Amino acid sequence: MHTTLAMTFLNPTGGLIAAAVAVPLLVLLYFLKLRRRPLLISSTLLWKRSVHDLEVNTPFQRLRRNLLLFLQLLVLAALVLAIARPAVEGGVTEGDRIFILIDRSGSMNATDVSPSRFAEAQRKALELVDGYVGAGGAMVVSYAAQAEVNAALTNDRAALRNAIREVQPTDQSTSLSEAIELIEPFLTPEAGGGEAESVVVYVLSDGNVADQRPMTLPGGRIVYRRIGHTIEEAEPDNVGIVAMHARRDAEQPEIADVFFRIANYRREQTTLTVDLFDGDQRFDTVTAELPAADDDGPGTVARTKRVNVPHETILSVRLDIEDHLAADNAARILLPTPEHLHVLLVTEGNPLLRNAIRGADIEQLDIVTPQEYDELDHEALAYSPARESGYHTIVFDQVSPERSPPVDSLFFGGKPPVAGLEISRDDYDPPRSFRLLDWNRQEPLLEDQALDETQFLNPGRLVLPEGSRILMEGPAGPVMARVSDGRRRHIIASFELLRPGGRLATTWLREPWFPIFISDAVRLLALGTASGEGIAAEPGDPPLRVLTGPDVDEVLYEGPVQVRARVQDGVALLPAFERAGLYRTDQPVASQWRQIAVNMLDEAESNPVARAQLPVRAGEGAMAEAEGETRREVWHWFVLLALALLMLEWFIYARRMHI
Amino acid sequence: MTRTPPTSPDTAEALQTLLTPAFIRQMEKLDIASRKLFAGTLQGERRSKQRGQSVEFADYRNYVAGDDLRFIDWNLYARLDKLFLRLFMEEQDLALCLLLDVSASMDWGDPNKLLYAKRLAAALAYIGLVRFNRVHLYAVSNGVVEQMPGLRGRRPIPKMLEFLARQQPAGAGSVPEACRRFALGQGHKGVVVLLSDILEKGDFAGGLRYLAGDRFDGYAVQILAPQELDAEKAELRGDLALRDVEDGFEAEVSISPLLLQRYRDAVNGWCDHVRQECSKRHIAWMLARTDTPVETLVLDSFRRIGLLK
Repeated sequence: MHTTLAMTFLNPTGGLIAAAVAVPLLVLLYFLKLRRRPLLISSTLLWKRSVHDLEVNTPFQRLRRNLLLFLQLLVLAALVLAIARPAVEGGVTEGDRIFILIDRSGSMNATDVSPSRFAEAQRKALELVDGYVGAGGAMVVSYAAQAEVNAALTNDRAALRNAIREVQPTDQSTSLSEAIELIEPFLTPEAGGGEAESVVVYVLSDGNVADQRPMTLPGGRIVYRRIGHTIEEAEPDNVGIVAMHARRDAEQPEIADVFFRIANYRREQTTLTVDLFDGDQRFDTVTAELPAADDDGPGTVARTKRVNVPHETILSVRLDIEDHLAADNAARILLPTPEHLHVLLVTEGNPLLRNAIRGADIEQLDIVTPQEYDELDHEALAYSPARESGYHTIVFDQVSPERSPPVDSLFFGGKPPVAGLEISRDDYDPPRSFRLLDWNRQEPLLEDQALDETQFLNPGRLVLPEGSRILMEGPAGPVMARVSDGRRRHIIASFELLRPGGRLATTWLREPWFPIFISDAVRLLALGTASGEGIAAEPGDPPLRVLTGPDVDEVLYEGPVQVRARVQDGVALLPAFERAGLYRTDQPVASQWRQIAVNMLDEAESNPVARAQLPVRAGEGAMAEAEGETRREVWHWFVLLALALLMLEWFIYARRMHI
Repeated sequence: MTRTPPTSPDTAEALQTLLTPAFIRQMEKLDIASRKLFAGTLQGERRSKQRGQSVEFADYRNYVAGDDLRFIDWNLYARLDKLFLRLFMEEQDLALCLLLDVSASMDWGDPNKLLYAKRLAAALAYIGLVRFNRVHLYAVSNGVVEQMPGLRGRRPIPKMLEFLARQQPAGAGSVPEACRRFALGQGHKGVVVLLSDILEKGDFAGGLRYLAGDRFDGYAVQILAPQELDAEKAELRGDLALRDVEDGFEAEVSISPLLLQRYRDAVNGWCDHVRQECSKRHIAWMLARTDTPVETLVLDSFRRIGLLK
C-alpha cells in the first residue's frame, strides 16, 4: 500500500508575487547589509588583487558557496511557498466521527482499477484513516451479503489500519443496508455522535447495490467514494454466467439437463466458446454469440444441454474469455446420484400422507405408531452412510415426541421439544375454517404451491423461538415454520391433516400441491435440495449443515480458500462461503457434501459498471454525495521549515562570529 | 630624521631575543661580502681597490721622485739596476647599511615579521661590527624614522642591539620613499640590505633604483609571515572585512577555496614581481619566511646569495 501526496497551491499568484519581491530584496539586502567579521591584516594589497581576479571572473562571487545566504534563500522559499497556500490532496478526512464502509462484494474484484477495485477501496480506506484528524473515533465496517464490524469506534490508527488490511474480498452480493443498520446506533447524538455535520459515513464502493431500501441516517452524512469506472469513463468489460441449473430427468434419472445463462456487459457483440465439463472431462463446446449490452441491461444468451451422467458428478460451465471479472467466468453444480431415501413415518394412520411420501421416489418407507417409535433405538434412527441403515428423515403426523429426533424431520400438528416452541390450539367448537393470510413464496418448498383457496380447520398458531423462519401465516399467527433445535432443523406445521375420525382437517390434502410439497420437503430435509436438482450454493448463503461420520472433530474443505468447521453431534455448520469455486473434503461426510459448488450467479455483481451515484434513497438529513478528493492546507509545514532553517542559520552565524 | 628612542621596560629582554650566545658563536667566522669593492675611509679588514699598506702584493711601478723609499724593491734594483716600487693591496673597511622597515605592516604575523627583521638586522650588524666594518642602521617607514650611523668595532654592539630593540611599528610605510630618503642622506658607498615585507601598493619598483647603481651593493630581503604566504594557515572563514593595518582600507571578502587559490596565486605573483624588479637592478632578492629560523637564514641562505662569506 502506498500513499501518494499530490500537492497543489491554492494561491500560486500570491506566492509568485511574494517571491518576485522578496528574493531580489534579500539578495540586495545581503549585498548592502552583509555583516563581515573585521580582521586586521598586514596589507590588503594581495587580497584586493585576488578579489579583483575573482570578481572579473565571477561577478557574483560573494554569493557563491555562501551557506548563510543559501539558508536565507531557503527560508524565504519556504515562506513564499507558505504564502502560496500549499495543499495536499486527499490529505484530510472530513468528519469528527467517521464510518468507513468497505464494499467487499463480488463486483469489487473487478480489475478495471489496478490491481482491483477492492484493493483500491482498501487503499482509500487507509488514506481516510491517515487523514483522519477528528476526535470522535472511526469505525471500519466491511459489507457484502452481510456486514461486519472490523474495527469498533476507536482513535487507535494502528488498529484501524490493521482492520482495513485484514478485510478480504468475497464473491457475495451487496447489502449496504446491513452495514448502515450496523452503524446506525452510533450515529445518533445520544450515542455521542455529536454534531450532525461532523459525522460522516464514507462508502467505498462501486455502487452496485442490490438492495435499495431507503436508509435514514439521523445526524450523519453519506459520502460516496466511487471505486471503478462509470460507463462514461471506460468501456465495461465483463461477460459472465448469471444463471445455472442442472436437473435429472424425472423419467430417466441418468440423463440431466444443464441450463445456463450468459450475460454480456460489453457494449459490443461478443462471440465466445463455452466449454461444458463432466468432472474434468469436457463433454461439449458451445459457441455463443452474445448481443451487446444496452441501456436496458446486458445482452444475454441462455442454453440448455442434455448430458448422460448416471453417476454423481460436478457439471461445470466455463467461458473462454479474458475480462475484468474472473469469478463469473465459470460455474459448477453438483449433480447427485438418484438418492435412495429412507423415510420413517410416525402416525396413527394417515393413508393420504403415506401415499404422498411414497410418491416422492423414495427407496424405503417404514411406518410406526407413536408407541412403537418410543421403543425404537433413538441413536440408530439417523441414517449412517457406513451402515446404510437408519432414516434420512422422519415425518411425525400429530405426534409430539419427548426427545428431539436425530434427523431433520417434518411435523404436522405436533412438535419436537424445542425451547420456546409452542403450538397454541384453537378451541372453536364447531371448528372454524381459515385460509392462509400469506406464505413465503421465496421458499423453494412453497414456490410451486397455490394456497389461496386452501382451508384449514382450527389451524392454531405457532409460538416460535428466535431464529425460526415462517413459511405459512394464518389469521392468528404462523402456522408453518422451519425451526432449529440447535443441531437439527425441522419443519413444523401447527395444523393437523386429519381430524379424529379420519376426516380431512385441511383441503390441502386433496389438492395436487400437497404431494409436491411432501416430496420436496422430504428431499429437502433428507438431502438439502428440494428435487432432483443439482446442488450449488452461492457465496453468502446461510450456513450449510453438513452431516459427518463418527469420530470427526473438524471438517476441512479445500477450495479457493480453506473452510473449516467444528463438528458437534455429527453436524458441522459450515460458515457462509465467501468465494465462488469448488470446495472438496476427504473426510467422511454425507456424500452430497463431499464436494460443494459455490457460484457467483448474480447479475448485479457481474455488472462491471460503477455507479456515479450511490443508488440509495437516503432518508432525511442523509445526502449521498460523490465527493472529490479533499484538500488539506499544509502551509504550516513550510512555516515550521522556515523556522527550523532560521535556527540553523543562527547557529551557524553564532559559530562563525566566535572564531 | 632621528627621533627620541622610546624607553621600553623590556629592552634588556629584547636584546636577549635578538641574538643568542649560541648564535653569536656561530657567526664569529662570517664576514660581510660585497660583489663590488668600495673605497673605505678607514683601514679595515677588507681589500679595497686602492693600493696601500698591506701584506698582499699587488703590482710594481716605476719609481718617481717623492715616492716612499720604504716600498722600493731593492732586490729588483740589484738585478735590473732600476728602481721599482712595490705596490700592495690596501685593506679598507666596508660600509654596511641596514634598512629595517618598521612600518605598521611589519608588526604582523606569527612569528612576528618586525621581530624577525630585527633579529636579522642584529645578526648582520654584529657580523659587520666584529669585522671592523662601518655599520649604519636605519629604521625606515615612510622615510627614515631613526638612524644610527657609523658604528664600528665590538664596542657599539650593545648600542646597536638597543637601537634595534627599541624600534616600534611606525605607521604607514613606503619602501620607495624610504629608499629615496636613505640614498639622499647616505654619502658612503657600501652594501645596503633592505629588510622589509615589500607589500607596496604604490610604484614599488621606482624606489629600488636608489639602491642600485655603483654606489651600493643592494640586497632585498623580503620578509613574509607564513600566514601571508598561505592564507589557509590564517584559518580565515566566512565573510570578512579585511582591514589594512597601515592605511585602514578594507577588503571585503567571502572566503572560498577559489578565493584562497587566487590569493596564493597573487602572493606568488607578487613575490615573483619583486624578484624580477630587483634582478633588473642587480639587487639580490631573497624571500624570508618568518617560520624559518634566523640562524638558517644567516648561516646558510645569506651565504648562498653572497651577502656573507
